[in-house]
Amino acid sequence: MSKKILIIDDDPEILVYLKELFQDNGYETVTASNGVQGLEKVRAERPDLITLDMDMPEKGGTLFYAGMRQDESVREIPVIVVSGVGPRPPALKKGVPVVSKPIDNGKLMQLVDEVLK
Amino acid sequence: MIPTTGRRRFATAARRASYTMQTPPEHTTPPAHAKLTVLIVDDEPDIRELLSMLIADLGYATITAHDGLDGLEKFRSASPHIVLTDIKMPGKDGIALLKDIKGLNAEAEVIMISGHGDMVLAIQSLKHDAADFITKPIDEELLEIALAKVSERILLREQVREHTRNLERLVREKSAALVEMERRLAATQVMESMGKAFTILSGAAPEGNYFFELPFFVAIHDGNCNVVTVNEVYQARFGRRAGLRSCSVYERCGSENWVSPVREAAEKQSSVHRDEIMIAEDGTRVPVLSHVSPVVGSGGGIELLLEVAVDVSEMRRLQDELSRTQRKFEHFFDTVPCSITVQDRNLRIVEANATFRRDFGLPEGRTCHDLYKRSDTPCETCPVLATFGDGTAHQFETVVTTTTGRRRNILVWTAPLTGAGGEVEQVLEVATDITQIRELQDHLSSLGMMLGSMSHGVKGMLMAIDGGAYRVDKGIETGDLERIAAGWKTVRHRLIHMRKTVMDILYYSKSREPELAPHSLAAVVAHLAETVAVKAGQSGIAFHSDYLGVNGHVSIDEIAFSSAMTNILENALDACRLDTGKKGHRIELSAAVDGDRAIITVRDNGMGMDRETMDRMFTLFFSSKGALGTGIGMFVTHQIISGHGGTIEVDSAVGAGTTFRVSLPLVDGS
Repeated sequence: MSKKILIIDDDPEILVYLKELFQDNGYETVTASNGVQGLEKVRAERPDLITLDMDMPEKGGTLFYAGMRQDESVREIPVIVVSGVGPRPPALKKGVPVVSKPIDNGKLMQLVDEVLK
Repeated sequence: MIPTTGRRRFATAARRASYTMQTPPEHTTPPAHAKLTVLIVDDEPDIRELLSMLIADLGYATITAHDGLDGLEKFRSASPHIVLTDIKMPGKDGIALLKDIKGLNAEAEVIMISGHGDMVLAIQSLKHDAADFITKPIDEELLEIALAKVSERILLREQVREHTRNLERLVREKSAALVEMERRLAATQVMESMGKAFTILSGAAPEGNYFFELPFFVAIHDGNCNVVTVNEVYQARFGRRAGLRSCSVYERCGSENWVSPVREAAEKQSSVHRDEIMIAEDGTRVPVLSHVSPVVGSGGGIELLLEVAVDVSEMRRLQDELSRTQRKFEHFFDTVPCSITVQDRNLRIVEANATFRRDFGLPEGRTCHDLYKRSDTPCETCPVLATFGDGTAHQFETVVTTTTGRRRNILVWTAPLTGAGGEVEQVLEVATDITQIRELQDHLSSLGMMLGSMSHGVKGMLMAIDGGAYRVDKGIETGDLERIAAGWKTVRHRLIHMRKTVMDILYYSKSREPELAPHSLAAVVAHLAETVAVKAGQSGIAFHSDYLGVNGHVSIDEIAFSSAMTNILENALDACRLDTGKKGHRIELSAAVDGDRAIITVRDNGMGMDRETMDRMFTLFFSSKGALGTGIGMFVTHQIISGHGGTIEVDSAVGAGTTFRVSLPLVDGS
């Protein structure tokens, strides 16, 4: 069974882009356009990996991450930050790989494959 | 249209990007201050935990409280430097907590956290002297900046306090020197009285010889002004002068129009008291205070003259030193780059230094609030009155106006000047001009903000373009025309957007004077209608315009004005395009004349705006469009319309649509 990636980003065109990129590489995808939706989706869909944008209206990346870490059942799901700003709080930086926008398709896929191996 | 608190909010928001520039996330350094303690008050446990984690990471010590009452208790017991409190909490809310904390310690720095839509409460909290507020969702950068700003204030306040302490020390030193001087003068007077007493004594018992022991230079002269005898101290210093002319010991002896004090006393037959310089045996000049009293014999003629001279060189030295200290003090008082005043209980300025007089005029018995603010009443939280009240130092930041009408931000520090009984008689006020710091901060941060916002926006757009390109590539690979079309649409959409961003920024960075010329209102609107009709048609939005039969002229810079109006119309188009709640969108553009004003109205039935968005829409870098907006367009629009002497009114409701009403003065068409 193919692995499932949850994509969280507020830009609909970036969502479509990442969705197609992951699907073309044989992954299943789920999308969310803000932190609140992200938390709902992560609980309902149990993805194998999350790509997270930091700067979003409503609940941003930091709060999504903090919320997710408090939920025992999903806290261990690996996260890759895909963002123009990068994670600000030092606590969030530990062990969370960061891919800066605009992304390099090859490098992102390499990182995703590595994390999901 | 910009709310009055807009500047402050902007100033806070603006630091965000400047910070991003200075401190890349990889190198977050702890603040340069000693560890400050932050009390976090919030009723939501996860927010509390998150804030605690974030703030501890920034190098602060943290304490948490779960509601207003708990917060107040922790404030009392732990005296934190900074309090961060949510506004909306069950029971005692953030504003009540703020008031109580300010009541306990007016200098406490309280940062408010306001939720979505409690902007009114946030503004209210500023009136209660909150240091700052940040909005939910909490942006960790804004939080960091707000904390840094407050820490900087705490530091600055400490510096001003130090400054004031130095001044107080100088005042103390000066007073001590004065007391010393008084003491010396008193001693001189005592000596004089002794001299007089001695005269009487010697008159009564001329054979007495106890005067030889006196610690002053004592000499007895005869009626012809020759020295008869001197005491031991005199002899040790000036030699055994018995039989010599009285005057020859004085430095000025022989000068024109000068007679010795002895001669003068003999001629006037009364006491003489003067400053003279006597030349010692070794040639030293000895400044003395000489007192000569004639002793009148029983026959009425002068029998003897008694001279008592005291060495005042030590006193001269002290006097010189005193006046040097005084001059130094005055120099310091006048040249420090602060306005220093001394005020009485009625806030009348009793003394003011040169800096104050230069910037705010001669006090002439006027009050502090009159000179600083042309106001009849004291400031609501007057630090001088507070110091009169409790006898301790107070601090205050405010905006004042100089005699030339310039506005200045000043940081005020007050200290009590107490009388002998310890009661506060006057208050010393030191005001430091921090306008330039504030201006520079704003300027730097808006520059940084612009670059930050730009780079972030551009990154997002580039990524979307990459995405479009990816879809085109894949489409070509698989022969999927639909995918190619979708990808190309994304690319084109983002390119247009990028172009607009760049144009906005170019306009923003170029401050130009509008080139005004009269234009027919109908023609201006017709031109706008033409451009919008095409765009509306492409997006399937109905467009109606109504300007036929409108007469009158407006004075506009055609390029700037049409770019401002286009911005408003583009917003209307976006509001319709992004509104998924209904079908059948329409935009109306109309022009009318109302008295001496031209009114141009743009009405759409798109998604509409909430109160907060409406309040903030003309603020620089505010955008409701997330990744799609730069936050510059409406700011520039507002600038342009204001530059034309016009106003913009906005009326909007979420889901129902928005109406923009631009009003311009009508002008003569010729």
